[in-house]
Amino acid sequence: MAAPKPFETKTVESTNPLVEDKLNPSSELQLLVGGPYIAADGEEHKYGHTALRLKSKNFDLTYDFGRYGKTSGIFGESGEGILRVWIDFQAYIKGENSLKRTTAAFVYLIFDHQAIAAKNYFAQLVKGGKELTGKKTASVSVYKLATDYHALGPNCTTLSVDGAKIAIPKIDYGSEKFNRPEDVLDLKERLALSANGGAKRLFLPANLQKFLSMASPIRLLRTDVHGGKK
Amino acid sequence: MNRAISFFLGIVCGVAVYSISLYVWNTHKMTKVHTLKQPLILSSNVPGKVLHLLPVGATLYLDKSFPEGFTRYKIYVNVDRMPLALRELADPSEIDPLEARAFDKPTLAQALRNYPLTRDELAAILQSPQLTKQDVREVLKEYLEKNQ
Repeated sequence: MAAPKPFETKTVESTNPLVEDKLNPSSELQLLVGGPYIAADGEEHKYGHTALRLKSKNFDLTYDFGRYGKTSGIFGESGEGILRVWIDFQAYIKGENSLKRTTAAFVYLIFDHQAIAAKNYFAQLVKGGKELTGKKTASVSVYKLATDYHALGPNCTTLSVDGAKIAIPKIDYGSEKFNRPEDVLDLKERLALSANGGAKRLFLPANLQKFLSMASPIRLLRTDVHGGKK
Repeated sequence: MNRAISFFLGIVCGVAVYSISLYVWNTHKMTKVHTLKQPLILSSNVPGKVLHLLPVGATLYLDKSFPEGFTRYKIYVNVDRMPLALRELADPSEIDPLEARAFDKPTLAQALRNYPLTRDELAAILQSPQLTKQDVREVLKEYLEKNQ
């Protein structure tokens, strides 16, 4: 075997994904916070709804956790933890926009490996649950997770933030100061919250929106706004 | 002693008035309904490849809406002369809903392929809010090409 020539360099092809990933953060993590909406019965839902979108060159997935199955409790505050994984973001946001609710997308630029890590986190959750194939459509797959839903958490906000933390561990640093249910909930809901012992971490979409707008510890790439009253 | 009795009676009367008011409000409050003009596709946790439809004319009674963005309705069903086996619900607050959605492009194609639809049924499906004119054109074109 010939000895290597001195000072010979071995360059890595620029198309190597690892190199690209380390040099150019090209993926996006979007925390989607849906605002209040007025339902057909005239009730205003101030609670809001949070989802997490991971967008890279190889996938575009939106994770949407909620009470999309069995519910229980006096106010329907708990139920099966159903995770909907949208492969078509337009289908997801079209549904949100149809409520005339405004969705704020807090967009962070991340590396591919961070997006993959967060995607793997949800893949693990799904693996521990069960796919509800009867509810699958061309746009969305539906899973019943091992963990149930509760309005105080695990809920849409806590699960989205947990997924986001896998990619950006410091994304919720300082959020506890914005855990202010009294800014959002009415008296009846606050009494129910107290009866359940309260929540130690931020769990309301509206509180998350205020935190990300005012005190995000990580620099935002941009904030997109979807929908709203036309 | 008389004061204590008066106080007690006052409490009892207060509770009674509140309970009667609540009962009257619950039994006389406005019920809002929607009668379907387009069929909806039903799905449950049980997997299956067959489309199940909630037909045009079904009346949905508004129950409650959720922050996630969906609204729950009740449907009343008369089951004729067929006693069904019943079980007790361990948690009386538990509700196990079906899910209903409008026709979209893939389900329209599936319905045309696999189901004998009447002209009126097809006309109603084509009015579904999830279907664009472009979707309808594409699906019908594909269907006609395959069935000529």
